[in-house]
Amino acid sequence: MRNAFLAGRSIYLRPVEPEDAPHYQTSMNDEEVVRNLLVHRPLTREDQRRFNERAGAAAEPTEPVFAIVRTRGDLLLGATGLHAIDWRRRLAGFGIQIGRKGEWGKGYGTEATSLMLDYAFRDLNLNKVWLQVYEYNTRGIGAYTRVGFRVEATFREDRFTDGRYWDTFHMGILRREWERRKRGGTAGARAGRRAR
Amino acid sequence: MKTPFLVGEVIYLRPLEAEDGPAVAPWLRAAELTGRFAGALPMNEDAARNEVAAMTQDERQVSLAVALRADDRLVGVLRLFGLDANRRFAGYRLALASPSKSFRNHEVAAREATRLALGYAFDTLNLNRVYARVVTSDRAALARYKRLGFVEEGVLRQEAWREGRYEDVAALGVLRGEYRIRGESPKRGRARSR
Repeated sequence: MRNAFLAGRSIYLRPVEPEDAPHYQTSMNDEEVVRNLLVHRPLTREDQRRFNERAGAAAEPTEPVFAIVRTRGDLLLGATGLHAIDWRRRLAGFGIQIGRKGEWGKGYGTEATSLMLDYAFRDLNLNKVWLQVYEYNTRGIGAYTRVGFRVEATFREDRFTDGRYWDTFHMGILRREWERRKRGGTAGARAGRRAR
Repeated sequence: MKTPFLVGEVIYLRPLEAEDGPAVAPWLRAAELTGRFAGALPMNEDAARNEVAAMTQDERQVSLAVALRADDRLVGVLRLFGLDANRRFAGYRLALASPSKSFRNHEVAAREATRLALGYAFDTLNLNRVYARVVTSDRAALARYKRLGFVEEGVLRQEAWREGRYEDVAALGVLRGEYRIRGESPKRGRARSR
């Protein structure tokens, strides 16, 4: 582990470094990755360099971004961040991308999301974290649901990709819900997993 | 009417001017408590003029002043914001002066302004979707939006902070072809032929 900011079981989060840029640029231009994200334009090397520079220096305090790294082999998997932290309403948006497609389906996204909720509620003292996910992103919806997000609204025909409109789900988790899950500890988490 | 852009029966919409800033600022403040810092920070008249000027220069939004046809009085401001070329949607927000003895037809004005904005959004801007958000305690606004064809798409829990407590926010959306033009609409003919 190098410069770990938040450590989980099999992954850790660290600041974004300039040398992460080539990996990110490749994944942020990969159709399969991007269709789950809020982007639809090509991303140049210079765009990516600037992004890494700003993110690594926390140039925007309301937009913290972390690199997601697999502990075994120190393998860069993707990135995660909070968006538009609103200190008055004490809420923030959540975003994540795992660009390393060979590592999909192994629970790393779920673990990173859970770490980010700890960061949002325990360290940043927020009251709510929300996110938007497209209806076809079943892997994402599964991960978010497992860590406690629930669907609060369905924005109809809010997303356009593959030549048609799709719905977007707005999901949210409140501080009190995160606290309850923490209090329940692993027992609650295990029961939840069993129920599913 | 002064520089009318879209004309209703009781109100008309005209371009928003920088000098409208000071009049408009308190309405924006009241209407935008679901937003970030708007309303929580002081804004002097110069800042209000700059804010309004910035709104009119932003290519991702269309902002219009709401004025009474009877006496050209400015009673509100509306915005189609976050225009997205790929997803063809925009957010909608209306900020009107509070109802008073001299502004009795508040509800009629709100309905007309919204109807005109939707007609413009779908028929002129060729959008596919318009969304709006309103605190769930604002029953009048909720009813008005639904009457105009908006569908309640969910409730965003605790996303507003007003007067010392969190409030839930209703998410409303209307798609092309769903918005209703009532009988008194200037687009009467088309509405009937649908």
